[in-house]
Amino acid sequence: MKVKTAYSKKENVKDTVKDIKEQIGNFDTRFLLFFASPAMDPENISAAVQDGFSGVPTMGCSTSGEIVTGKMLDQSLVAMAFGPEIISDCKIEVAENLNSDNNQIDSAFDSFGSYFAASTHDLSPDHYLGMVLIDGLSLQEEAVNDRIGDLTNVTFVGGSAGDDLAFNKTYVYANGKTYSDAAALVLIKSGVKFDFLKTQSFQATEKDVVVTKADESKRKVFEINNKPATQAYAELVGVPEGKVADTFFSHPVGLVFQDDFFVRSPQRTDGNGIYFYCSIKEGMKLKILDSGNILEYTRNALNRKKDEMGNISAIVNFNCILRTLELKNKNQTEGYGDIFKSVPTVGFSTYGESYIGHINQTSTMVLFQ
Amino acid sequence: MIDELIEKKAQGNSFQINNIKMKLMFKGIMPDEITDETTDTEELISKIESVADQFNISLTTNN
Repeated sequence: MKVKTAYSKKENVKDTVKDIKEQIGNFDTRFLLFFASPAMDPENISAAVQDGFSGVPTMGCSTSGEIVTGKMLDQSLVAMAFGPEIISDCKIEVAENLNSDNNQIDSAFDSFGSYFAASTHDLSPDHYLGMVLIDGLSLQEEAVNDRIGDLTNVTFVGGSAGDDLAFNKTYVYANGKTYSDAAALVLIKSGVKFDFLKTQSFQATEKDVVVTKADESKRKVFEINNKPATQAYAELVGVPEGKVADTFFSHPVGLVFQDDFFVRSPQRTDGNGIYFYCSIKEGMKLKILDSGNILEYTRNALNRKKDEMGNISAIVNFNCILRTLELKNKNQTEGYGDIFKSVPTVGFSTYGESYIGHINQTSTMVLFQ
Repeated sequence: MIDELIEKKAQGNSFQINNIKMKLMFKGIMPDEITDETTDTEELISKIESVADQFNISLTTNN
């Protein structure tokens, strides 16, 4: 057994961690990844988990819903214990003060380099992988992912911490401590083959979007195709301007790269401008997207990976909260869980997904052979 | 210049080339749209030099 998963919905942190520990049993845990509902005492859950798994590197975050083998959950704690076959070695670092100039991403990578006795620029992306959990209200996910990409070719996948849609405070957890305005990162030297999956239930249309005026730091777009953003967006999706926000969920935009695209989701209108869930640079060329069936797209994408990899022994799934809301609205959470029932899985509903950059309405996954 | 940047960052790993192109795209550079016929504007050269600094790469070509 390469991993062991567990979940618990006990009424207090002490009983929850005890329950998780009993389920993991005497498994040789080399790294514990956990995701916890904000109902799980977010100021204390990290310390409690570390107490329960003394000597084990632990990392996690608060959520807007949890995922474990075969199930989508709420108000729970889910965990995956990784054994020595997958984790040859790992190191957790935390980059604090994301909203300051001294954001510690570089020092985190210096520490990785010292630990693994090699510059992170030179680590093999075939043998190392990373996961990153970022404060979901920091607005710094773009900067974090951008700098990670500068400092290494190792692929980092992850998600933005949630708080059950309260949009009040989100937390990342590392080695028993609790952080906000921070990113928790783990760099793993893996003993097995691994791969990544980015899937979104959209198709690109031929409708071009060029952002002609934007405030990148505020994730606000003022003009599209040299027109007020709401007017241009309404024209592109074919609705009256006053109804444009109703189309955002099913018609986000995609930054197209070859046969793939990275989803950027509009959040709300503000005057003639549109706030997005991630930043868009002036001059960026995008396409309007048409939505499809999440279950179908996810199942097909995962089956393709299974065919490529032969066997998948564990999945970590960072699934956008907007996808979870759609699944809930369509009573499809059970069907989504079923897609993952045959492979040990852990994950959570995120405020944004990380893969090369910060993206929306997507599921990013790490798959271990 | 853009090719040298991508090649040096990829360190000989051909599977990394698309990842690096995606990283450039998120930085506002569309590598697949830059060809031999593309005009070397000061803005474009400056952007590529800036990314080379961020990648900790020294470029030998000027265009």
